[in-house]
Amino acid sequence: MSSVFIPLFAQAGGAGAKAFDVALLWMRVIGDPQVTIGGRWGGLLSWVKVVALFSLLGWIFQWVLRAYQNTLSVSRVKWLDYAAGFAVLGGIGTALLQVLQSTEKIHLYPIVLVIAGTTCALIVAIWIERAVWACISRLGTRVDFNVLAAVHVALGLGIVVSLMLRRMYLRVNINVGYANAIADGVRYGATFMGFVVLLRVLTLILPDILAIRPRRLYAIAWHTVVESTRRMWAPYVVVAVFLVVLAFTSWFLQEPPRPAEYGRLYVITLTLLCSLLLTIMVVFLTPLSLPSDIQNQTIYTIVSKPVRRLELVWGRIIGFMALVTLLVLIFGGFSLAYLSRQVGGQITRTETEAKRAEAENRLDEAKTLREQADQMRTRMGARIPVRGSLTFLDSRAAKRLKGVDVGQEMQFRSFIEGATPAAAIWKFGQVLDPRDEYFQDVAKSKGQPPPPRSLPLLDRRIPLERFLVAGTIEAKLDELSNVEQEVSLMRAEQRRRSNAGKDSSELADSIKQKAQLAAKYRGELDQLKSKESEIRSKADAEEKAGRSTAAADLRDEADKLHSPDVPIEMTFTVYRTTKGQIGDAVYASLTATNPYTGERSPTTFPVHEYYTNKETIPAGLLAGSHGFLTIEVKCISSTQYLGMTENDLYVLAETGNFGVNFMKGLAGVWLQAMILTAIGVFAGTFLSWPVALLTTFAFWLAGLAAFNFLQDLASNNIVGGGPFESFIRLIAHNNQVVDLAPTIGVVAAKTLDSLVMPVMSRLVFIVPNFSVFDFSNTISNGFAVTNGQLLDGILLACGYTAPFSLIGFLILKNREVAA
Amino acid sequence: MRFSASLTRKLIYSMGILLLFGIMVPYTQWLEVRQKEQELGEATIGQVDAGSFLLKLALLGGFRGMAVNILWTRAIDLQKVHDWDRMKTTIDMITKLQPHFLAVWTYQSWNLAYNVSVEWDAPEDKYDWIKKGIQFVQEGVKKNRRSPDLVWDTAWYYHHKLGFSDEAVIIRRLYHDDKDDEFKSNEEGIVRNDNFQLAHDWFKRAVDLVDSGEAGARPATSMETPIEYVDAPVQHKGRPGDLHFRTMPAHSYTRYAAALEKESMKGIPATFGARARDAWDNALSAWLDFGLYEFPCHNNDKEKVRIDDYDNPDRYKTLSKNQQYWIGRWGDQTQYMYWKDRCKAEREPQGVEARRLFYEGTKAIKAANFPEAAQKYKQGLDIWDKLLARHPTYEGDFLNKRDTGLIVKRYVRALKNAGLEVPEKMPFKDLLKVVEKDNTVDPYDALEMMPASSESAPQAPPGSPGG
Repeated sequence: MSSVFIPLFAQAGGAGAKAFDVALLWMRVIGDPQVTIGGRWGGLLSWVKVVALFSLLGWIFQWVLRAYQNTLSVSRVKWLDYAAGFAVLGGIGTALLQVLQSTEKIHLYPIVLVIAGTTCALIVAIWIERAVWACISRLGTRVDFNVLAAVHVALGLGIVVSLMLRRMYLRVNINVGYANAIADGVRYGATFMGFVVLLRVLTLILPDILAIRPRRLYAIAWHTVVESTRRMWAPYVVVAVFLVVLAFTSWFLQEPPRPAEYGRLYVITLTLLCSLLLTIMVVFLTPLSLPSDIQNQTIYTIVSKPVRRLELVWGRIIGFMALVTLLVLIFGGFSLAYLSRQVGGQITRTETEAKRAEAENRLDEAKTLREQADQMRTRMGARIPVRGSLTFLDSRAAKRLKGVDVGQEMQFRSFIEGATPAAAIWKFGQVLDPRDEYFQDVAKSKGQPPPPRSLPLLDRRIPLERFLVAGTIEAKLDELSNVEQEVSLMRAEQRRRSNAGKDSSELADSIKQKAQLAAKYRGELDQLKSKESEIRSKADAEEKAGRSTAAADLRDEADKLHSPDVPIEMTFTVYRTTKGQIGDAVYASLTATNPYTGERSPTTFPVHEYYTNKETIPAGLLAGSHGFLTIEVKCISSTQYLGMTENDLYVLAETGNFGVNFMKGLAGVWLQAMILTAIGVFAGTFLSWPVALLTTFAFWLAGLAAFNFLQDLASNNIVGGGPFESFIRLIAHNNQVVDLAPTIGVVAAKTLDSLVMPVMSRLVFIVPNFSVFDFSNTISNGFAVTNGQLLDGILLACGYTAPFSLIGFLILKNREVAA
Repeated sequence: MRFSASLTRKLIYSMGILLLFGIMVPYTQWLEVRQKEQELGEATIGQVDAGSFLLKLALLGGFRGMAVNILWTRAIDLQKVHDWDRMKTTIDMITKLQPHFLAVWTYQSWNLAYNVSVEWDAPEDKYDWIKKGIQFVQEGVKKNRRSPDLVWDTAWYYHHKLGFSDEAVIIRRLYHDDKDDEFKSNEEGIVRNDNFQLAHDWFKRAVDLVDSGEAGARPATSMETPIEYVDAPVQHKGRPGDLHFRTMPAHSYTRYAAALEKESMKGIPATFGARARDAWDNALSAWLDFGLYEFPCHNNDKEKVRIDDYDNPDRYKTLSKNQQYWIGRWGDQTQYMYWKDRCKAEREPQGVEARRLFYEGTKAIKAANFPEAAQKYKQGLDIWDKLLARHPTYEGDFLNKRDTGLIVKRYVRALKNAGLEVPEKMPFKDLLKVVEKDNTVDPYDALEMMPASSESAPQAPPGSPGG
């Protein structure tokens, strides 16, 4: 349903609808857990909603538990307890009927199931309501009572919002239906209820947060560090294991398949090693610390001091993280030294070998070796690419979203045919999403009206300041070109106005000013150019006189008056329909065009498959481009095809330091460790150490290996049913897609699955997704981990750490640790 | 000096550790003797690999199968997304876990040498991946010394994948120029600069391994309990009736000799004279080795036949009907008579001389020197005519007819281009009909395959022809 609402939302806003309608739609965005806005704020909003819903669950569970412990509802209204018990059984029965219906064993009107299910749910809701009321009226404070009231108001608000939205939709002829509207309303209401509870939780936590003192945090943290080192020897053990494994890496790693892969293999292995060692250390260390303190009664000495419980939790986390930080630094240092010895050594060896091959007239081999060394060097950097947006022309020059599918199993790349107008076009600048552009064109060709709102633009501009060095000829050319463009625009405007009989004297003045500026720039440009030719003629003179070093110096000086060429890197695949002339490469042409000036720079090159092909375009081409550029790639060799995807070609903005990038990658490991620390400490607040250890271990394993599975589970993408049905398939040797005969066992399994799956699929909100903190692929491919990526990682890690540590604190606060 | 309790404890523990290590020494020695007796040791099966041993230990044996399954699936996925390098690393891990499971070596080495290499566009990269495949299976040979299968696979890649691919003329040159002597040397450490020579050595090694009776798992004698291997090495190649297994050394040598007499490596001129004659001699003796081997008849193990007896009327007469049947059948199947007669013909000085003249004729055609080409072809064909008259089996073979026909066709072309008349009578004129519509070029001859510019390609250093 959300897919219907989103465009509506966009339209309503754009069409200048009433502020009230906009507010209503915002209420929906805030209330519906399935809808959010784009960007980091959207992520934050979703996070708050999930935390709020879990708070609500916790709040209800806590009051029902207290009611049960105090035998409140049991003593008062016995019949309600029985009714609730029957309702739960009825719910299971409904699920069973549902399964029977879906396997066509029975035939019921769907409404019967809906009514049965709703009735059961209502009875359970009433039972909960009763328990919570009874408990709060007996044991609750005034604040709890207020929360209870506010929760009900929130639910009402949700339903009201949904009904009003329904009325709004009716105005644009969308009929949602009352039942659906109320169901949606309950969903919004639940989120609003969650917000109320979250607010209550915050009021509980806030005083403690405000009362935190760095001195006490530091003391606890230091205590944790000392304990981990003294009692468990953790850091020593981990460093020792790291060094031992490092010393024997060659036992497990065979010589990489290609020298070009040398770096990648080692980088991936080392990051994996660091990540495994640190996370395993944290998994073992953190859940043990609190329970053993409580068991050994050493906690007495701490809790009897004026230390807040939150400081106890956060101090511990900080202490462990200090240890992790130290270890990350040590591992990083050793890894970098190891990499520079292994990979750096290999690069030097390959380059020496290339020189030797060249000296021995083995030119082909020398070329291959040099390319390999270059590939290795490329990967041992931190490239920052500027990517364009890719569209295609087919063999008849018609615009396409994709090229030809040559029938490869994984269709990552699509192909263009050689020696035809087929082309792959990368556009840089502020461009439309290729899909939007394509469908806009299709609509235009069919004579349909353009969309009501302007479509969003992607910012794919080339950072000119990186390529046009201040003070060079190209930078000056850029300034000049910009001013000239302004002048010609203003002239056009002037003509338009004078044609319309309007006054344009004001424009004339600014045109005059700009023209003067242009003349000034032109003068400066000429000056630079004459300076260059002067230096070059001097260099020629020196060369003639036989002073070649002086000549080379002068030429360098002249070169400095130019901005360096703009590097373009690409990786294409080749698909041959015939062998062609054996040994001949497939050729590609690349044409870079500045859309403002129309200047072009064509080049042709042989494609080296699976290698990074490097070409350059003159920096002068970017002058006056405003960061816009079009790069068109064609396959020249006839009957052959060239395959590409959007990321295959980029303008190389900068190559950063590999060491820094590697440490950024380890920061990802650090963040994983932070989440695990929070989970470990949280588990330690209420579980005995073996259970806490297992819990942390389970979180670690699930986050590492099972997150994708959980995601599939949550989005209902699991083929072959839930755990029970899968078990039956497993023992009966049935594959995942075969229809199971509806025997008693199968129906029972499906019923159990339908009860278990909704709960299991919620795990996706709790289990941390560790793979997003794994930057090893980016690093090993020689690309920079951007600050944005790092920020996303930090936010996400905090999104897990904060709730876990705060729940831990709340539990610890209400627990008699020194009993 | 008084020791504290904890220090005393530590001392006791360390002494215990030392003691245990002490006991381990005689125990290990005893174990090694037992291993040798039973031929159970890793070292008897093949080279010991510390990493492999540790990995197996870490997985406690039982998890090995699971780990291998995961790795295998991962390798297939990586191959699908064309991440070749990580795929190679993954299959390396599989072999660390299952070093004595031969199918892994065979399957994945083929995968690398054939399936992965074909995905790369540049011949240098193709060669690189073929080499990886060969080195991979050689690693398998090191760890399973008694398997003729893996030895034979190695030979096959040297022979077929390097020698018969579409880019063979380039790839063979890359092999020739390869500085990796280990990759190019045979078991005795002799470096071979032609892949066919090396293929012969490996094929021969497989045959010798079978003949030595060392191949496969040694059958238990009646005195000892049979050994149950965990990954029992299964022998597929070199079973008693495996004819083609035994022809391959001869095939490789024949290929080598034929390749010597053309520009079969891009930029390296053909070789004739004594070296070519030697090569054909070697090929002939390899064929005789095959022909004189005694195969048991399929329907009667007791009756043995030598395929060469087909060529020996005196002996042939003395054989039973059944033996004659099998000799005839297997001789036809392996084209033994053709190969033998061909080697005999080509090894003669006239044979080599005729080939030299054909080669020079073709070179002259490429250089558009048609009168010279016509002259060379004429001389060559005259010699060839006289030679083949003595070798009727070779002469009558279709392949030869086609080859010779193509030369005659070229001769006629040279004559026409030189403005000369095509003589009424010339040797093999009737073969022109056979090749009338045949415009194929020899894919293993750079002179025919590559454009004329290949002459400008970097020449091999002097004194290093194909041999």
